[in-house]
Amino acid sequence: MKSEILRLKKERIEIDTLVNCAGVAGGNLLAITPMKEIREIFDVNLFSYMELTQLLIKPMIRRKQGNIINIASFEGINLYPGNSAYGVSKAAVIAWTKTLAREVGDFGIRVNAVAPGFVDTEMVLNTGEHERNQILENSAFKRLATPKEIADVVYFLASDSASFITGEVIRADGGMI
Amino acid sequence: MSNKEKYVQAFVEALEVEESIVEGLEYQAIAEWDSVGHMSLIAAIEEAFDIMMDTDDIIDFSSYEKGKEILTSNYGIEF
Repeated sequence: MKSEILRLKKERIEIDTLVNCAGVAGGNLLAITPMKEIREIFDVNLFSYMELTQLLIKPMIRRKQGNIINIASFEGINLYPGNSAYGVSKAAVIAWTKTLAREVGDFGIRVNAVAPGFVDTEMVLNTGEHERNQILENSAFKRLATPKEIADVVYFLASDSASFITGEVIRADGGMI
Repeated sequence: MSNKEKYVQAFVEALEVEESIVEGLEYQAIAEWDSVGHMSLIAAIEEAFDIMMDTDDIIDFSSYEKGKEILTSNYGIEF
């Protein structure tokens, strides 16, 4: 990661907006989830975000502008059983988003998160259909989001239309309860 | 601009202090050099010298003098 950022620096490519969107699903009830799996999920879902942000935030501090958007999840807010890994990692993303927003607000850098519901992607389709349908039935729209519907929220947060929004989590979950 | 001039200028701009007080400054010895000021200072130094500092070095950067030592020994910047 660092060598790629160094390459961008050498080529004088400035990053105005960082979208942290890597993510892996997984986990089960705590008693039957190996700690190794929990650590791997946290590594991708939280620590990779922090590491990349740590590399890119200093030029933003220098320029006194920047925009960081973290992809969280409704499962980081609605903490269902079986979510000690995925859901808790996304809850940590939300907590970190709010913390970082306070740290860098003085430099005019905005930090926000999007908490999608179930999105029509391979990762979601590979999870338990029965459990997924039960949760969808409790939502207003009762359907999967398209990737574009989530990307549009990210686009809004990246735009000047969101210039006074920071430390916020926007749920894009089709009205999940 | 010499490396020393660039180094001093980074302190002046990032911490918004007079050049006359920069030499001998220590972290948290003045209000401007708190943790927020430190982030700003590191960003300025990275830009001035076109480097990317390791987190350990950022944490060890506790004074004007210590900063020079770190930049020389770990990033090849001579003053």
